[in-house]
Amino acid sequence: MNVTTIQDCWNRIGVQGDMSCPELRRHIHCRNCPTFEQGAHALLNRQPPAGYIEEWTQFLARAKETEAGFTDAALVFRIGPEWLALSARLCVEIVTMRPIRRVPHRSDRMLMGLASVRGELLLCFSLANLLGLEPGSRLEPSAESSAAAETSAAANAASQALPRLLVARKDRFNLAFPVDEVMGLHRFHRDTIQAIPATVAHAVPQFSRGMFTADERKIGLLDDELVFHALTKVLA
Amino acid sequence: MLFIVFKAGNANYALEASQVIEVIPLVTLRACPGAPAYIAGLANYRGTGVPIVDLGRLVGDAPCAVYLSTRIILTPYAGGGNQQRVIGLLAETVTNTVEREEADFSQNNVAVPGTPCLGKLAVNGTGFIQRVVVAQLMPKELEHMLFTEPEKSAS
Repeated sequence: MNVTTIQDCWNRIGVQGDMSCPELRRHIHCRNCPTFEQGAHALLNRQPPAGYIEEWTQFLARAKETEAGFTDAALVFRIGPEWLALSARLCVEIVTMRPIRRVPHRSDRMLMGLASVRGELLLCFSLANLLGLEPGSRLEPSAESSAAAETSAAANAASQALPRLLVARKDRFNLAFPVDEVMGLHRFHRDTIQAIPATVAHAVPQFSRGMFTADERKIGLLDDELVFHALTKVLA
Repeated sequence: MLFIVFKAGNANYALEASQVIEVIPLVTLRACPGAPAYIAGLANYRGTGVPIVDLGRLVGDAPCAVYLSTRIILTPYAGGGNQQRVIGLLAETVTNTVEREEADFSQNNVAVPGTPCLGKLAVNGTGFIQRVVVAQLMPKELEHMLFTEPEKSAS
């Protein structure tokens, strides 16, 4: 098929043209219209440009390098002074902090209450209290004893950190917990997980599978089975 | 279930996405002398020789045209005795996926003896898409060629 045979109605009667196309009422924008989609697909019905096949032949003959070495991904976040990670499979979304309403006679140290996320009321738990951490504290260079290499730039970034509500899902049960800052997703290899020293005072080691290092920070990888079990135990 | 849709011999087919390892563009193939016409050649995929089956030839009667949308679908192919090998399916217009349920593939095809056994059809717009099961689509002789040849040359 030749490209010149494509009917570019979007340039004539669509959003790029005089917008007289009767289909626009239904599709609002040309990009929602099947005619536009067919036009895009037709662009691929062309002979490959010179060198295209050779380039791909060379690229695909090489061994895959990029994704090798990673087996898992985890979402890294901070509660108080501690950097923690939760398996990325469990993370549903990260939303801005919002009011958490107490549930009369049920809210306690673990169950903080209910928060509305996209119209759905989610149970909010305090991971900080479960792990014995002090939430809400700013990460200051002096507070981070383990990372002595903390630069002023990093401290600046931390002072701008915004608290977030992390929505996680396990066994079709959604729950949320507030965190002080979200760093992002981190990918790692299963074998690089190290044991957490037993000298750590709070309860992080008890609920962790181990720890890994990212951006010169030591990050505790939470064991989702243990954490979810401990959090949801209060509902029983 | 998600299906990857492609064209071969001017008809639409669908392959279950869970059966797809990777979709790669057309690459230069090493010819396999003496092989049936539907074997387009051998591709070097990350250091391994992957036989490429031209579906245009296998289910239609013309080889796939060299277009940007003509791509190779890499899929596992199981032979007898737990042997497995990656093969590539060369098909045209590999640009789309569709979401279909098992029950949507309910239209029976005309069963012609001696032709490759293809799956049932689902209605797609004004036409049909036919489900492809790799193990049934491939001719029996291919299994023989892919898995028993090395032993022959060794003896």
